[in-house]
Amino acid sequence: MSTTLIVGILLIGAALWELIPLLQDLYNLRLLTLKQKQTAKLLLQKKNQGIFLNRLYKSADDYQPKEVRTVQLLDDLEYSLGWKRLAYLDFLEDEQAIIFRVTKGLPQKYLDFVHEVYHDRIDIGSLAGGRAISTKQPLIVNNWTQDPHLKHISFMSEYGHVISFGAFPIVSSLTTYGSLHVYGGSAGMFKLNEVQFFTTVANSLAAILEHDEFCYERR
Amino acid sequence: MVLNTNFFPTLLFIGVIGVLINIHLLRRKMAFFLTKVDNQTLNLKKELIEMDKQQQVIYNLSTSIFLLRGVKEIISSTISEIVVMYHWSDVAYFPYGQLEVERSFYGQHPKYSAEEVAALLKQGTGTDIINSERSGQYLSVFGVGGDGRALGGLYVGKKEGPLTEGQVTFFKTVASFLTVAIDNIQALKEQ
Repeated sequence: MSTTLIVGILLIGAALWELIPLLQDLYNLRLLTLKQKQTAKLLLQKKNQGIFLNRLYKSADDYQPKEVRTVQLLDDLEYSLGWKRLAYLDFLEDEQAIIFRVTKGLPQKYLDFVHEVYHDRIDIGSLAGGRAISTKQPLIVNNWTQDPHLKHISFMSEYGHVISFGAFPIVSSLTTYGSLHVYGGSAGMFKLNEVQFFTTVANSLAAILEHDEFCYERR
Repeated sequence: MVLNTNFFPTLLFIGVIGVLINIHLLRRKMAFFLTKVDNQTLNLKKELIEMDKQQQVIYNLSTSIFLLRGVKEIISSTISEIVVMYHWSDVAYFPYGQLEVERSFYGQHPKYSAEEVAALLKQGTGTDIINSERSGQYLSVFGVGGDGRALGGLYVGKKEGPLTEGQVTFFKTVASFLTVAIDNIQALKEQ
């Protein structure tokens, strides 16, 4: 009886001994699956961005007025890439200011603020959009509740759920067209990938708008 | 009926052996799954790296578009970006209707003659992409130009097989970029 008991205990021990690596394997499988999901998500995002850029350049084949093209661009950014709060601001050369031409999903409170304080015009050099135009470089704010320069519009995060922001100037070799504004619902939405992507979009849009002008003149 | 208690140790023994065999089989299955998921993740990562390089090329091209002032500069810059950033050596640009091209300038290692590519371009006027296969090599020509005007063709060769969907999208974007850039430069010169 005692021999049987010892053999039984040894066998149960062996079973447990095998169980530990099995549990480890299960844990590794879970980690790998999570990693795979993250990679797949990133890949899908990149693929969609690639398809978007392809569509943007392909659209240059046909002439479109600036108003139509900018509306189409914002629509496409929303539907194919999920950016819901966007704006295109036109540059007024004579007044050296930018005005909101097309907006998408922006909180009314913010638009009211721009209307009341700036009379719908943002002078070059003031606010984030104006600074992006004056420097001709993208301006990124990854959490504007913590940015001392943007304290006066920190209410955006309370009312409009807008926390991060990117202004991308649309400037060609001859003309400054305006600025593309992208707003994010959480902090830190503009990482290197997003900054590069929107810079590409803004530069491409500038080239396409210039192309449209030449097409119009040729007609 | 009286239960014979002498059977218990034997039953226990058989049961534990059964569990051990099952665990062992499970671990083998698990190892197979782990390798499979690992390989899938690796393939996804490779694809992601490729997409990263493609986006970097488009980003670099879009930032340089307003700095370059000549058609030749734009083309050589595009080809260099594809060769250096994307590590794709079988690429060349052939202006439409021009058969004698400077090989060193227009591409790294063209495997097809200018005549052949020109013939393909002629055959494919109005289409985005022409595919052909010759002695195990795949050639794709992406038409540059729009609005009924053919400017040239972007030649892309691949040994391993036809271009993937992602690669086709990328080279189509490059061809469309070239169309816009060349058109703009020519219009600026006319002004």
